[in-house]
Amino acid sequence: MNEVIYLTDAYTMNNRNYQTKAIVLKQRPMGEANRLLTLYTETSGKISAIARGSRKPGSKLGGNLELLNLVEVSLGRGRNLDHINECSVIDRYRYVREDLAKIAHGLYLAELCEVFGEERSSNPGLFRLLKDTLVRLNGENFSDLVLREFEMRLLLHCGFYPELNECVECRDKLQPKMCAFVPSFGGAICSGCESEIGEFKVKLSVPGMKLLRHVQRSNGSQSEVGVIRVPQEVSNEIQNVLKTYLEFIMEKKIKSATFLDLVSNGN
Amino acid sequence: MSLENASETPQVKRLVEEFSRLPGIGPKTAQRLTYYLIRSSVEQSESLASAVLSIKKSIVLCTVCFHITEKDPCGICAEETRDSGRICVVEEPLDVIALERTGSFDGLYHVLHGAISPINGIGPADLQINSLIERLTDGSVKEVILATNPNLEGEATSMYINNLISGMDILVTRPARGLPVGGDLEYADEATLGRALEGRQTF
Repeated sequence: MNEVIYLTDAYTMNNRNYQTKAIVLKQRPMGEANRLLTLYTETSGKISAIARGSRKPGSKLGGNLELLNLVEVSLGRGRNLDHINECSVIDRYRYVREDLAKIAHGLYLAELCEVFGEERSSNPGLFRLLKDTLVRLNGENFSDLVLREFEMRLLLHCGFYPELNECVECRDKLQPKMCAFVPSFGGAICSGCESEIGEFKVKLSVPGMKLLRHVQRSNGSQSEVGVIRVPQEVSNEIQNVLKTYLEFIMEKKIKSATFLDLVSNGN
Repeated sequence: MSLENASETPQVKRLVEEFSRLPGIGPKTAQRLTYYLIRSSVEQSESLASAVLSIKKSIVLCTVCFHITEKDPCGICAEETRDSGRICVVEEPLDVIALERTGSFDGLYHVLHGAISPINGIGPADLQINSLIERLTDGSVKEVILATNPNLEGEATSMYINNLISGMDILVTRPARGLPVGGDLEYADEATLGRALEGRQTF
C-alpha cells in the first residue's frame, strides 16, 4: 500500500519552514512597517515572530494577524526570530470583537497564556483550552465561572493544579468548614493547621470551596459551569483565591485584570 | 588616532549607547551612526545636536487637543475658520499629520497618546480620555469622529469612549473601512473585504 504524505506533513517536515495553527496573543510595532507578534501555536507552544510589512495599509498579513485571531500560519525559521510567510484566518471570533466586555475577557485569557505558556514548548492542551474558551466567549452563556474554569484548567496544563481535597500540611481530608488557601503551598489547609502556618493565606468559606471543587471537576463542556447560578459573594471569593494564586506563580500582577474589572463594572 | 582605537573611548561608547535607546535602532545601527558622525564635519554634528535640543526645549503639548506644538494652543486649535463642532479623536500626533495631509477634514482634533492595551497595562486613565470628555461637556461639539486604529485595541478604545459619550447629545462616527486605493481585491484580507462589502455605497 502506498504511503500517503499530506501537504501539511510535508510542510512540517521541512526544516526551514513550518506550518501550524496559532492564536495571536500580543503584538507591537517593530521598525518601519513590521510587527513583532507573540503567537500561541498548536505544535510549538509560545513563539515570537515578525510579520514584515504588516503595518502597511495594503498588507494582507495585517488584517489576518489581529489579536485573538485563530490562524493557520506558515513560518520561516530565522536566526533570532521566525518570520511569517503566509497566514489565513480560521476564526476571527466576530462577536468577541463587537463587545467591549468580551474584548476585555479575551485579552485577559491572552495575557495568562502569554505568561504561562512556555517558549517553544508544545502544550496542545493549553492551545485547545484557549481555543475552546474563545469559542465559548464568542457564543452566549459566557459567565465569570467560565473564566474561573479557564484559570483552573490553565493551572492543570501548566503543572500548578491546586490541592483542594486534602490539607497540604497534615494530609487529612478537608472537612466541610471554613479553611484557608495558601498560594505558596499550592493548596488549601485545614482549620487546625491554619494557626500554625505563617505563610500568606486567603480565607475560603464552605460554599467557596464547593464551587472551586465543582469548577475543578468540570470538563470544559458548555453545560458544566457556564449556566449555573452562583451568589455574587461566592463568585467573588473564588475569583480572589484563583487570582491570588495565579499572581503568586507569575510573581507579578495580571495587567489586564484592572481593565476587565473596570469594564465588568460598567465603565 | 585610528577609528578602531576611538571605539574604545568612553565618548564613543556613550554615543553608541544613546543611539541604541532609540526605537528601531539596534547596536549595529547605533555603531554605524556613531562612526558616520565621527567622520562627518563639526557643523553637521552641531546642527544635529542643536536640532535635538531645540525639539525638547520648544515642543509642548497643546492644552486643548494634546497635539505636539511649539505654541499653546496649537495652530489647528487656534485657527478660527475651522469647524469647532467636530472633533476627530486619534491615537497619536502622527495620525493628525496624516489626516491633515488629506485636506478633507476642517474640524478639530484630540490626541489620546495611545490606545487601551490591557495586556501592556495601559488603561483609560493613562490616555487623554478624561480631557476629551471635559471638552465635550460644554455642548458646542456636535460630532465626534473616533479615528483610532482599526485593530482590536483601537476598537476597544473607541467602544470605551463611545460608552462614555452615549449619554450626551453628540453624533459619534467612525471612518469607513475598506479597500485601499490602488490595491488588488484578491489580496485583501477577509476582514477588510467583509467590512468593504458591508459599507458599500450606491454608484
